[in-house]
Amino acid sequence: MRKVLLIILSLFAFSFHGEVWAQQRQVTGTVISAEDNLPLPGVNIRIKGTTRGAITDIDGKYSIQASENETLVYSFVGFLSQEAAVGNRSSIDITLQLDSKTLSEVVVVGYGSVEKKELTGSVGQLNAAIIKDVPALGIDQALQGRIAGVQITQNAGTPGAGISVRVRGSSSISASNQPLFVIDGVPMTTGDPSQLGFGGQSSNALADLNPNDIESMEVLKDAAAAAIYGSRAANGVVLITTKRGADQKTQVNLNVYGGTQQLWNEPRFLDRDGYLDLFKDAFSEDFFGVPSSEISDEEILDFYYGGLPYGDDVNTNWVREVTRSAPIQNYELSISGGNERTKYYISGNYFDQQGTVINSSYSRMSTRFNLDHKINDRFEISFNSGISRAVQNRIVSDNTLNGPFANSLAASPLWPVFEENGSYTRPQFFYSNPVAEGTENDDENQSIRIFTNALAKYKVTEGLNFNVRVGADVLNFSERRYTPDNYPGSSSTAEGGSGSFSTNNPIKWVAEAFIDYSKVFEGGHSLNLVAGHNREENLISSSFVRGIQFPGDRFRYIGAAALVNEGSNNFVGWGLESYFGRVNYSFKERYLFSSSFRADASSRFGPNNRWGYFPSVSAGWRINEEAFMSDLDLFSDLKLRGSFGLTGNQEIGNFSWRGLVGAGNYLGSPSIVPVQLGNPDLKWENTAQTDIGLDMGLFNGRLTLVADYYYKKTTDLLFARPIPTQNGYGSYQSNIGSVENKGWEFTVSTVNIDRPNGLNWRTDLNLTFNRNKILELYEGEDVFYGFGGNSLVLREGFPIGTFYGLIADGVFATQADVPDSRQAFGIRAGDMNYRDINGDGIITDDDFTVIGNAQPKFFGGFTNTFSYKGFDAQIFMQFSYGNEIWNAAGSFQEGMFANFFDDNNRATVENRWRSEDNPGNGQVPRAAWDVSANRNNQSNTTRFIEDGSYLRVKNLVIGYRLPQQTLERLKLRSVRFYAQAQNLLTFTNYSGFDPEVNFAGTSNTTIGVDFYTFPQPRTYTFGVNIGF
Amino acid sequence: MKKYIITGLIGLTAVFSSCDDQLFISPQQSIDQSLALNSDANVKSVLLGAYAEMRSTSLYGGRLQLYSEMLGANNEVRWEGTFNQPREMFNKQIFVNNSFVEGTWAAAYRAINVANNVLSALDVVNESDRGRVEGEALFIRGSMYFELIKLYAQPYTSGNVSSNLGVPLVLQPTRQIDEESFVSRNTVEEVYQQILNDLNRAESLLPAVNSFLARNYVVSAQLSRVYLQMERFGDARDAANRAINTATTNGKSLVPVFMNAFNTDNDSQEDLFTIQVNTQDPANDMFLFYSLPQFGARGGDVAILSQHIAQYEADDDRLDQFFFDAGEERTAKWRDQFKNVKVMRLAELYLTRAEANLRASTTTGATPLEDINRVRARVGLPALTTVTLEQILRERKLELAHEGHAIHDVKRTRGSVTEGNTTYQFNDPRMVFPIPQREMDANPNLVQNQGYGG
Repeated sequence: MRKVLLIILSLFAFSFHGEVWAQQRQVTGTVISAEDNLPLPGVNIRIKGTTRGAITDIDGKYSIQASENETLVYSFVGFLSQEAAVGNRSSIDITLQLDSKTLSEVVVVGYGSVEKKELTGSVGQLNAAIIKDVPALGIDQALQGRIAGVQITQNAGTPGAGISVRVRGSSSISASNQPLFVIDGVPMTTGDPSQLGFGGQSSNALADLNPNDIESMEVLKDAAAAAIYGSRAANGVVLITTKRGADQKTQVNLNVYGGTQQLWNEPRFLDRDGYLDLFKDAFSEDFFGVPSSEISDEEILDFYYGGLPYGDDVNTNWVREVTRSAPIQNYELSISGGNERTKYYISGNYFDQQGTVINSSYSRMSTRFNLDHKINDRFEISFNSGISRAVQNRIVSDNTLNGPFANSLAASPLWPVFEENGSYTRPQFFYSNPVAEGTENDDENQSIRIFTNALAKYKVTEGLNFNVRVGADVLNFSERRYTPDNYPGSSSTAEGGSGSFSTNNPIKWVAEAFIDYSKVFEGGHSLNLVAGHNREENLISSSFVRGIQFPGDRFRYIGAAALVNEGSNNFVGWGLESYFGRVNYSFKERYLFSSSFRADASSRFGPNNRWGYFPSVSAGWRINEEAFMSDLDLFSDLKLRGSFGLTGNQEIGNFSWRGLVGAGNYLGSPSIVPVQLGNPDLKWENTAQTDIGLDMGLFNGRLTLVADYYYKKTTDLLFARPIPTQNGYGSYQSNIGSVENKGWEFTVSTVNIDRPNGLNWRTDLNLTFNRNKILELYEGEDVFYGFGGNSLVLREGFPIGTFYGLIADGVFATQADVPDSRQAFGIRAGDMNYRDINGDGIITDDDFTVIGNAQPKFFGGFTNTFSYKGFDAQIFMQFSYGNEIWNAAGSFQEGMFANFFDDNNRATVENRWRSEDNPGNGQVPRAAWDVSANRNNQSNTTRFIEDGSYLRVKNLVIGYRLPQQTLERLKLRSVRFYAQAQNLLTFTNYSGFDPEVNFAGTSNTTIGVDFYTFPQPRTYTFGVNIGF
Repeated sequence: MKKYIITGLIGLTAVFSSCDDQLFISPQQSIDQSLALNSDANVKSVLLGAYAEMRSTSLYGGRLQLYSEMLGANNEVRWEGTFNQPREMFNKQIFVNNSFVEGTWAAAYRAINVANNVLSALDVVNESDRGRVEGEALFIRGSMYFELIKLYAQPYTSGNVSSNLGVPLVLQPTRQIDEESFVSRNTVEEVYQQILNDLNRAESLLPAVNSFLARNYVVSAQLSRVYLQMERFGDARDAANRAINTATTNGKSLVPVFMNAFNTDNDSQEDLFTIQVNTQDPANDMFLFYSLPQFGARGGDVAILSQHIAQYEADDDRLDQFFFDAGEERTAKWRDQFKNVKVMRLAELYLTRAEANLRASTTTGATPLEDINRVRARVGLPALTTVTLEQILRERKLELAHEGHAIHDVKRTRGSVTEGNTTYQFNDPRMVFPIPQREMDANPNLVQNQGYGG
């Protein structure tokens, strides 16, 4: 829009152009925007100290008469002004930097947009330009670390896996914690459409959207901003605006990048010698009666395995066997342009990412077509559509006995990958061959997605528009799994091969009509109104079929199965009807007031609470507009704002309120059984949020600060209230419990250096301090969950993600250190010393206590952007401080062979206790096949809780733009080369693969738990961006 | 023109807005409760639903049998799996939050509630089927209470049956949660009385032929187990005798080759009652925990120890069940996937009749010697000429080993279980499950078992 306006202006300006001075010479050049490296039309060029000037044309070119000692000043709204001395130059090319203080920036909000300076709510904004070089698979990944208050955790390295997005903390325990994503006004289907199990490696419906089609993303954080989305806004709302055409000459852009990815960190596991050593230590005393040093390799192998038929040179590094250097590539072509009446944006994209673990990959082909057309002065239509097909290959990871990565961590180095005859080995009794699991199985899903919507806007009178929008989000997700029985230990050995196929097809329809009205009255009163009605319907059908007994591993589809042993087909749905409205009023752009309202009726709410009401109010005071501030030049912006409102969370299940009787069967005969007690009062989770914020601009916008304090209290939590099961039901759904999130958010931006045509350096920092606390649970009772049933706890007064277990006070160094009460149970020197919390002399579950939590004390992102002549660089760092990680695999990975498990151990166990004279580092117990008396070196103890703080150089981008002269020779509009590194450096004390980890994927309550999780890679890419 | 456009637009949204039914989307996989019990066909479907509950792995689908074997392991089998829940039973150190203990309690009461639903709606059942439907529901309810009382309360042989706490008796279907939902535990005697009421009536109502579902001789067999627990040997003898007579007249007999009685797709001629398993409904937790990965199971979580195997006579065909794999001896009784879970075999009834006859000094149906030799002959052992109670109990133990009888026979015979060097008497509180903590929390009227705090 800006450009359109300025082109008109520039035409206007040309008419004043014509004074020519004889002693001056012609200076020409091109002005380019640093934002997108495209020419800027309409830039004002003035000779300093004079009234002479010129304006760039549609290709960003200008020409002006100037003398040697004069200085040119380039200015353009939204950009920082630059000066250039003419000297003896006849050609001066200029790149204008975006102005950080752009107060006239427009922020998209629900059902409209407002100027940033008039915003009274808390909205985080991410402009696409910032992330354009980053090899992000999806928009959620691209948002990571960029906006204060938004915590995004990638959880794992599976390409296209689910990503946790938390806006201002976790407000729910059993419903969803993900925000509502709205694309061009239409809510998106999000979440994991997959029905097959992959450990924590979920699929992600958001990945269907190509991040490069995004113009901007706005995160609505407080109630003032979000409440207009009512019963779905409690976790915040992410508004996605796709790119559109402009009234300009056709522009063709090609962007290509490619690169490679590797594991950035490999914690060391025992090699052959270390492993055998551990073996001998574990069994020497009880089975050999001699010190382990006197046991030969053959003896121990004979004892445990009855001998191994492999050479003693076998020393397999299984992690290496299942990981690889994996390529990533992206191709993208977009065409945009238009005229005054019709504008278009067309793009095509191919993205392909192989995973660093064998057999994992994600590829996506997508197109987008956005069209705007003005039928006449009153009537405009917009049409947006995106179509994509994504194919993902996942590997089963985390909590599994059949995953390539998980098994590679457990597998013994004594086995080779293959037997001599070429068949797979089976490197342990419990675990199948990791390479076979990665190579032989098919785990493929395909997602075909259509986002489409159309908006018709009719201008009734000046300032009053009537709008109708219809939209659909159609997802067609299918997945196929085939597990052959051609390797030992395959999970389908007994079934003779197994295959599954499932589909999941959610279809969302939205239709809405709304009016918007804006008018500026005399005396500085300005009014803005929006009001409307919305309907949404979701129809979700799914199917599943499974077959077993395949003729061989060449037959991989169920058509070849001898027996189809499972099949199902389901349909569910839900609907929503809503009324919404908002009024914005401002007086002299100084006093701002806004109020919004939404009423939602949902099929998910019980009949006694069918309608939910979600109001909000907010106000702002722009202090720098006051008369008493007019003399102060210090502030370019100073605004105090506050808001309060209610939002809801309706992810409570489609039929949770109903009393239901479900279908079952017993040996082919249909049956029905009561499955659920009804609760006609069931309703949404309710969040009340207060926000107080300050927006400040200093030194002519060179320093800007946005600070917010918020308090969010969520009540009426969805909770399966336990009832005595003697009634035949375990629970019924009810609204009980409360969680709070409160905290501070800061966004600071500074322009450190801006030398015209020289070095430019700009810094952006965002920082969030969130405190999560459970206020109320049913009857105040703790809820235990996690491995073993009680390794995590939900407890009043503690945050979600609280780890529970024993405190480990190192190892008993000597027998004398072991209390008699524990010696009586056979506990001895070298065993873990767990703290006897209740003082009864023995260690039981009663000694469990809170041992850590996964919530960070603060987190954020730090971006530095540099440009110097044709070069540019961006370094983006992301950090989290004070969060803890529980390595739940500790009892296996550092279990010292307790309980006969011959899992390979981390090399850290070389610091183990070996004797009273050689007690190791005092933290690692003795190797022992049986420490059942001392709880088998169990995992949920402080021994396996680690500091998960990290600072990560998430992206480093260096770019170079070809100079104008070269471009003219090449007949190109712009060319930029860039190199990028992702996860280049990570500073952390966490000893596992990656501190950004969660085996449970996007789980609400299980967070910060590492359990054989597929880690993120380090990625290097090189790219080129060409404008034709 | 303008007007038409506006009217058109408003009309368009009205079309989208007028279909109110989207707020009344009904589930398609389930129906509202009120509809479930309103017809003959529906009530019969609900009855089948009760079987579907009862076949869950938490109940006859395997865990009831597993618990008994773990509690009664006696240095003869060892739990080696990673699951802590059976390990705690094996160690006689069960935590109040043991999820298997919790799951079985809940599943049994689910089945009871479904049976209660059926019993509440008998008047809509066709008259010709009403007795059978009632009998099946009563069999399920009685059996569930019997399994609960054996695990969650002191055995009948501990005495004090009118003061020792059993489990709560719920005999009406649950429609809503109110004060009456927070039931207290009945006494052991009350629960046994209810079991006898249910089973006796079921036996009188049921036919001898009813596919693989409850039949009158199945109920007789269950009754014989109940009477054994109560040490009412005469009644146990008569129930077993009735079961044998009816079953054998209806084609049941011992399978000639012992191992052919196991791992069968369909009920064998020896099976009185089984849980039907096939590729569609594969759940069988005895298979899952006892068998090995190459047969589709877990890692061979239960090992058979030499102390058990040494008890068989050299020529005993029952030794054929043992095979060495994955480092330990295993039993093949549960080797294969997708095979029925045996709940009652005919052989048990001969052993019960023999024991009860011997204890009562009677010869109802057959002499103890005849019955015992019938079982011995099948496995290639020489006939005995005289028989003692001890011999009958030993024969019973070996014949029914690893099938879920271990702890219940120990308890009713006032025996003991030795693990390592520790011996637990039959009434040791550690061999009684705790009332799950979840239930204690949800229902303040429950009293915890001895030795479990609270």
